[in-house]
Amino acid sequence: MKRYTLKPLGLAVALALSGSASAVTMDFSGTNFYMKFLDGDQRGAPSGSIDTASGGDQGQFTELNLVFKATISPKVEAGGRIQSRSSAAYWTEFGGFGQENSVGNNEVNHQKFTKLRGAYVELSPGYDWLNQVRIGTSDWGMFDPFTVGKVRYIDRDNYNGFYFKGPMVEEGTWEFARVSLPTYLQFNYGQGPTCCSTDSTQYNEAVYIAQFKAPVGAARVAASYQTFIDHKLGTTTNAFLGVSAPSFYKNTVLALKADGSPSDTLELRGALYRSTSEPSGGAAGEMWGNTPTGSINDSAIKVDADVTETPVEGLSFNFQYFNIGAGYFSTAAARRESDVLLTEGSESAWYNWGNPMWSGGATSDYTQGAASPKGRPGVPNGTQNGLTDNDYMDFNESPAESVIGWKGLTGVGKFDVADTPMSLEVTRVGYNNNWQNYATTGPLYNVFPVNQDRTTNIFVYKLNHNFDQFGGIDANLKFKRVDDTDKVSATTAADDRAVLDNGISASLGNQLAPDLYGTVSVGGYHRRVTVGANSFLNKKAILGVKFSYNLPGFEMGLLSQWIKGTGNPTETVGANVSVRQYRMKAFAQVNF
Amino acid sequence: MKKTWLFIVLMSCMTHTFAGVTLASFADPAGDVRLGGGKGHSEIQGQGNLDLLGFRVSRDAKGFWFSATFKNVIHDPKEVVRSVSSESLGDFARKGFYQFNIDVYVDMDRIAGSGNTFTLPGRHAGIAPGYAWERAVILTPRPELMRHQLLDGLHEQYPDYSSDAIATAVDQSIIFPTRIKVHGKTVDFFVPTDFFAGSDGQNWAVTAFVTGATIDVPADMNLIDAGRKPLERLQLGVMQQAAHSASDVTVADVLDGSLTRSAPESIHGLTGVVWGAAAVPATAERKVAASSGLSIANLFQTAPLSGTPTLSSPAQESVPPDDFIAGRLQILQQLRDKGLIDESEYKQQKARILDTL
Repeated sequence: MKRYTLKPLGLAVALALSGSASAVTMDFSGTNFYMKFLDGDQRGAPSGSIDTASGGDQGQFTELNLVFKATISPKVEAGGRIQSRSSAAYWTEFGGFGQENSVGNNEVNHQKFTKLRGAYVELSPGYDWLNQVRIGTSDWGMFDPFTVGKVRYIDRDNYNGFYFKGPMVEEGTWEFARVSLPTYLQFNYGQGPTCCSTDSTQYNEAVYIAQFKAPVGAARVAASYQTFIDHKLGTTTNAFLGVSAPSFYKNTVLALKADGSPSDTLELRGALYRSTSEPSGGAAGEMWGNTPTGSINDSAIKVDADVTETPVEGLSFNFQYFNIGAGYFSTAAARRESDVLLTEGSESAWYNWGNPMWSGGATSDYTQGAASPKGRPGVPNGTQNGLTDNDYMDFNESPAESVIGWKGLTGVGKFDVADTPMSLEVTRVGYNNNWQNYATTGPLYNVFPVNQDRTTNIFVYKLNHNFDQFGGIDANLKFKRVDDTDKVSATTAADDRAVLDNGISASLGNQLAPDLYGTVSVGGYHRRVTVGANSFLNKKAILGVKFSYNLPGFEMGLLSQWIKGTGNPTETVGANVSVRQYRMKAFAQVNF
Repeated sequence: MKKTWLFIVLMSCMTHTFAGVTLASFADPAGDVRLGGGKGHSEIQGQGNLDLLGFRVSRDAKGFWFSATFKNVIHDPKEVVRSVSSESLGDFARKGFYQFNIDVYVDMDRIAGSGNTFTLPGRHAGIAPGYAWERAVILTPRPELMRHQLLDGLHEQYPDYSSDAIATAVDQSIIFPTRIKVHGKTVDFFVPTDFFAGSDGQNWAVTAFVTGATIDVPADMNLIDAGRKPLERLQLGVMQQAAHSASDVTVADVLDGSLTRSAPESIHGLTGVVWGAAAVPATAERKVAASSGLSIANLFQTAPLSGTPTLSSPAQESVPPDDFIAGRLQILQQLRDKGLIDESEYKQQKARILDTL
């Protein structure tokens, strides 16, 4: 095995530092080169970033992610991340000249710019009351997706702040953080109380959160409180006395959580969140903003029960009750990186469907449901930003769904029959935004449709089995059914919408060689869309071949798919089309 | 919905058919996870994902099943997106887990000191002579990759040995299971009968422990060349302690808790669990025939791993070169002089290094 040794470089660095530099330990763990190859018969060039979500299926590029961490002493650590953002920088391009208003090769987003993603200092001072201090960047995954959530991987380290952690009595901990908010998370995209003024205070806007955790008997409890206050510049008549910064928007979130095991075979978890979202002083939220346009308070509840053992050997159950208010809102909640509910959700029953055609754009898959605040045909207010972030994705990634407004139950049973692990999920989802004639002045008008009367039933069955033949064959089978109905307006039958998805997929995987693993998969998917009196049937089959090759320190993957089907993506009577598509994504990465 | 519930009832009525006979089953204390200052470990420790609660060994017609039960439900790598790209961790860690390794060292003949007392690279631990092992079962999220990495490391350290000879020696004594099942808090892994040279498993001693796992192969970025050999630099899928940590202990939980915080040096003499007949005297005839040609003991005897005591058997005894010991002592002295370790840590580490003489 060839180890990566950097002794000449390391020696140079050591000499360049001061006399005590040899005490510093440099760690480059997490550094990687990442290369992506895209091909397909749509012949579309991605725009903005090399990913299929933007509708493209062509290009090759390389991305460098340099992560360094210096352990200067047992109490001081510093690090940073430098990354060349993929952008639209193809191998076929020189990188151009990066001129503003240029096109093609010279376009700014075609340049292989390298960016300081983040830098931090972490202290472990060893005081009785303070264990850890972090100043600078982080992925902020130490809290809760419903409060301050983990930042998406492409944005990771771009959020700066302060973080403190210390002990409490009885093995408890306290944490406090101030996270500087990017403008797109602030009220009206950081443009102030009304659009579109200049919010000169945005450079100091931040979320403040305090979290406490402690054991209580056999249980563990946690509580957190966070607040975000958006400010505007006040008026002043005397500059020598400074300028005031009154607030015009406030968002608070209180969270209470507990978990414990009443017995060896039962685990319980509960979480209660309460949010307030309050514009004031004439602040008017825009339809394209990420925040509710008016004042609203709401709650979110989750209760989980896990039965880890039953009288039947190999059988276990998980149950979850969830009720997330339509008006629940947290400025810094997770927008993608966290899977917050037990259910798989509605995606992948209609595997990575693209709209209007078959480009495989993942952002379109976000709108698979019968009714969705974004992209549903004919929704006049369907222009606001999604509550999740599905940009910069490829066709092999599952799109995220927002769960704001969801309420219901999920039951998952897992059992092992004849060395064949299986699982069965049954979920019933209702929606707290099932209402009629929602006012155009309502605080959630920018998020949800005016009329909705919707339910979703989800059924997922999965099994896998390992065969001993041919050195071991991994077989997987999945069936998923999503039944989504929405009467929309109670007074109009013509807008009733029902979507029934049935998808079945099977795969066989084998370690073809010590370093090569291959998988073949086939899938058949039906989507019947009924709108009023009209019904449209969409069908497609996908054949996939996937390879994974690895050597110590090197990974390579290749996924090719061939799609064939018929459909009516525009939901226009008599407008069925036949479609064939080929698409491929390969990647290679070297991890340090 | 009625059909759905009927389906569930029918499925629940079908019993899980676990193959074979249970040979031994052990419980391990909860909350006895012993971790150092590694931040990766801290993240895992906070979730109790390395806390071993139970261990079972079973045998069926084809081989042996080992089952380990943890305190927490085992996390599915498919639900994790790698931080370096948008790829799912499940594409790399395909066995249904990614946060831990389990080392199982099997003393098949129960003759004190007749086997090996070293552990694989990256563990920085040793086995007590009374539990000296003949076979090692290493459960890891990426078994093919780890085997490959071990073979590469051995080949780099012993370029004069052929690749085939090294692979044969390794495969005779060490196996990285690929047939693995994860269900809830339990992971089952299978080892064919042939690996245990026909032993029926009725009278074994097993030393088993858990370490935090790392999916990637880290580069060697040390600026100071401390003269470490390839096997000493090899982490082999084990999450290491943070730099400047007072300890290099990577073992998180030992079956039956033989590793204690009050006696950290016990990491070099781990004990395990036994079942069946009592141990036999060291003079007894070995039931497990020594391998002819290159053996795993030959490969590890000239490069002591982090102060592992030398083996009691003269044929397997190894003494590190004097200059190697001197080099380590010099580095330790430098660390103390620069204030990076205190006097008590210096004395502790010095004693460990001198123990290898």
